[in-house]
Amino acid sequence: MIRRLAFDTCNLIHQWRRKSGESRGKSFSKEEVEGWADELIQLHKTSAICTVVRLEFLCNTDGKEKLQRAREYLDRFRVVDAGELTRDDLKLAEIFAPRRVSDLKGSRQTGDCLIAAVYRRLNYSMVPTSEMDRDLVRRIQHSPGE
Amino acid sequence: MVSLIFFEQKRHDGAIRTGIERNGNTALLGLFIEGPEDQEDDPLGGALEWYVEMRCEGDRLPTEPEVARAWFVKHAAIFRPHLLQIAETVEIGWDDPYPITWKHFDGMESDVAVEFVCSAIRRTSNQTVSQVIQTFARNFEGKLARLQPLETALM
Repeated sequence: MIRRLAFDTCNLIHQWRRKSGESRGKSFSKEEVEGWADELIQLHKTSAICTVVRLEFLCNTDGKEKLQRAREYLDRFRVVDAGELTRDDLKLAEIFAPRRVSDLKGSRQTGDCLIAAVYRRLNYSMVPTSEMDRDLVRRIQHSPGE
Repeated sequence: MVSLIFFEQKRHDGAIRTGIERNGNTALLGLFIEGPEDQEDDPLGGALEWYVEMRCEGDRLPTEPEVARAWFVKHAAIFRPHLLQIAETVEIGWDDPYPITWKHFDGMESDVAVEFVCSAIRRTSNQTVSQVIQTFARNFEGKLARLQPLETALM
């Protein structure tokens, strides 16, 4: 299987914000959030995420009801690492760490490195993201020799 | 119902992956070309810059690798003009969010649903995305011809 697409946290957050923004501040139901997840899954024909993506999403959620909806949303995705973070994942994440750009939020950088390490081990490619877009722009701005 | 996806992906580390996947879990044929850049320490190496996909669904679609390849080759003449039309539309100006999707393919059998999908990181220019679609369309049969059985593709 070489297509192997997986979501980054920002894919899930972007979809959540876009759809919840359309509901104009109203609370939303389990069926609605499951529909948001299914739409994203259908759009990219994958449901793969890793445990760190799930954790990062929950870290960006506050309030008891929203947390419940977030879990229902996340449950539509398939966690491909079976909840396991290996020693090699951590080693690779440490190799990645210096490449992260300093003006991104610290917690997100840690997550990025772990997500990239897990997906590399499992041979997944990440769905194109606007987050990557932002990071590349920053990297160009901070490229050596400027 | 059988689903077949003929896809091409470009990763940030320069790698290009092309293949045919069946039912979302079985790769029938593939070709994995390593990127020219040494990005071993790049956490974004495995992130896609773009992908293009022909997604097809139908009860009578082939399930065997070589028959699936032949099926896509046979339908290339139907797909190509539409893909070139999409490329032209994108080049003129595409303001909607990605992915780009297209479901209307004149001349297709009525029992097969076809969808073309193209996604890219947002900074990618319309011209580049248009070029990607054009190249996919013009070299459709050539790309299919280069696909190898999975065991070979992954070595």
